[in-house]
Parts: sequence; structure tokens; C-alpha cells
Amino acid sequence: MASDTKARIVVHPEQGETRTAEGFDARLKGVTLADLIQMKCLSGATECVRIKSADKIGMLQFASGNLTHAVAGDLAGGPAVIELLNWKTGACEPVGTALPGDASVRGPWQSLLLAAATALDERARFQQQNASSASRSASREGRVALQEKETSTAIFNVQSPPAARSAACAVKLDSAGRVLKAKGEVDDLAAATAYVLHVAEHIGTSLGLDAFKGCEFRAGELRTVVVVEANGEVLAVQSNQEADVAEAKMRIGF
Amino acid sequence: MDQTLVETLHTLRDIKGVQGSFIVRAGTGQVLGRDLPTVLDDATLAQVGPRIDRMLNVVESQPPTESLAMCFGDQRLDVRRMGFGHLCVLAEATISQPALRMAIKLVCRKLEGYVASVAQAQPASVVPETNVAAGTSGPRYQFRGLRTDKLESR
Repeated sequence: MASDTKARIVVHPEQGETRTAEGFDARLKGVTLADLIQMKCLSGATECVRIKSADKIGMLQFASGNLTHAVAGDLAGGPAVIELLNWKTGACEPVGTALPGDASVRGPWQSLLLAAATALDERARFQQQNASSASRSASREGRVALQEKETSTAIFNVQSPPAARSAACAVKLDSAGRVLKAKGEVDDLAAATAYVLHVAEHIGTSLGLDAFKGCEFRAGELRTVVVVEANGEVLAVQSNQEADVAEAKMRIGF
Repeated sequence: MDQTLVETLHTLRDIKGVQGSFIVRAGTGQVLGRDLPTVLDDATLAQVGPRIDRMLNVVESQPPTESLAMCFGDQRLDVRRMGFGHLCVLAEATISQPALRMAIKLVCRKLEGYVASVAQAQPASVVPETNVAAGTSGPRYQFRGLRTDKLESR
């Protein structure tokens, strides 16, 4: 597990919350969110938990011992779990109301925690490498010229190690295939993404499958992940580093 | 349909969540072997095969794309390149991915040479023209009983 996940979380029941007839109300210190998720899942809990860290708020929803929903700021699902596990300190409390909408987290919680921990480990490692490289020589940093028009998601702020910088690129397209955001040399990636979208839809339709959610191409070390977002926009990330595409993969449940 | 191919493909069903599999010829997408529910007929696969083959060539890279995983709602389609053909596995999205990877690896190892001989023995056929354009023909009812015309209108 990532050392980053060893955050200090204070767990306490909300005042006035209806409790079950049996069991202890606990106030624990030094519990990590990963610990909390494991405890809730192993005990088969059905509960919604609010997490506060400084001015940030997140929610985790459990149903019959499965993590079914996660929200952290604007993020939901797997990316929200990664974000929550990255929070260093905070407090959490059970809340009565369930989160609206369909479940945003699917699959076994063990795999999710493992994937989140791996993503955080990789993120920390790259940040460390970048920091040491920058301190050695700012002038030799050799940043890739970014065509970033606007960046808002973590994916567009991917910090790859120097050796892989030339390979890391990301693009966001609207449903008509127009480039909304771009990082790196994305001409080929944008065209490939738009093409993939059409062909995958045909494949899905022919096989009677549901709507296309995304895909991953693997070629040697190179990973290309395409994600269809809820608003119809399409995100594509290409990199030699698994960590760069981890978040995108989680969005489609890979 | 070659019985050895079908039997080997059937071993993929040892993994809970695998719904079926098929092999298409590299370059043409012609279906070489299948282990799928009968609701997915050959005409449907004849449409899908060439598209899968094209998808594997979308990303220009050296080495070329070795595998492709596509997610459609609650289901996924995994494609693995193996020389003369591509192994395609249809499964539930919640399937154990490590188990699926291992099963695909074993099947690919077993079929690698065999598919080459089958592909060489079977002349590459041309996909019937009526099946090429999506949505213009083909069966009305598809996998899981969903109507293609309804799917296309979504």
C-alpha cells in the first residue's frame, strides 16, 4: 500500500444519527481511509460516510459490504477513491442519506484499493523524480512544449518521468471530434480516437452490447486509453507509463 | 468450423464471466473459429471481424498493438493479436481480469501455430457486401435479444 494512504483520519458517529441496536460507536485516531473502507466492506456495512479534509468534502457509500459510490469534489467513482486516499488528514462520519444516481464504483473493493494504492505510489514516485531532477538543474529540465489550452483534470497534469515525457500525451474531444483540450503531439491520437469511437460503436451495435464506454490498446510499453465520458466528450491518454493511464483506466473499470 | 479450435476456445469458459470467444484472421477479419451463443450468427461476426482487425491497426506503434480491451456497459470485448489471427473474448465487465489474462495467454499459446495452419488452409473469403454496411442488413434480433434497430436509434 502507498505510504501516502497512511493518513490520520478521525472516525466518529454523527450526532443524532440513528444507530443499530447492537455494536459500539467508536472514536478512533490514526485510521486511514483504506482501513475504513476495509472495515466497512468486511463487516458487510450498508452505510454512507462523509469525509472532510480541510475545506474538501468527499463521500463513500457502502452497500452490503461493497463500495458502491465514491465522490470527492467533482470526481466520482475510481478517480474519487484515488483522490480520497490521497488526502492526508481529516475526519469522517456516517450520514443517513444515500448518494443519488447509479453506482459509480464497480468491481471488487480489494482490486479498487490495490489499483488506487498503485496509482498513488506511482504518482508519488514520479513527483519525487521530477523534484530531484528539477533541483539538479532547472535549465536542463527539458519540459515538453505543452499545447495545453486549458487543463482541469488530473490526467492533463500527468507528471511523467523525464524519459517518458515525449511519449505522454492526452486529448479531449467533443462528440463531433473537435479537440477541446490537448497535451503533447496529439494530431494522430485525436484522429485515432475519433475513428475508434465510430468503429467501436459499430462493433457494439452488431454484437448487441450496451453503449461503448472506452478501451485500452497495449503495444509493448505503450498504453493508449480512450474514455467516453457521461457528457459525450471523449478523453484519450497515451503514455509509456502505466501510472499516466491508470486514472483513465479506472474510469472505464479496467 | 474446426473442432480443435472450438474446443480450445471453450476452455476460456472456465473463467466465470466469459460469454464466448472467436478468432478472426489477421488482415481480413474473416472468422476462423467461434464458441459463441447461437444468437450471434455468422453474418453478425462477418461484420464485426474486419472492424476488429482495423481497430488493432489504429494506433501506430512499434511494436504494433498486441491487445485491445473494449468496454461496453456491463460487458467487455478483449482482443489479443496472435500472428495469423486475433483472439476475441466476450465477457462480463466484472470478470476477474488476471484470470482472464491468464486464460487468454494459455489459449493463445495453444493456438498460435494451429491458427496459422487453419488460416493457411482456409482461403481468405470476401465479406458479403450486404453485411458490410452496419445497420443496413443482418439479423433483426441480436445478442441478449436486443434489437439492432433499437440500439442504433439510441
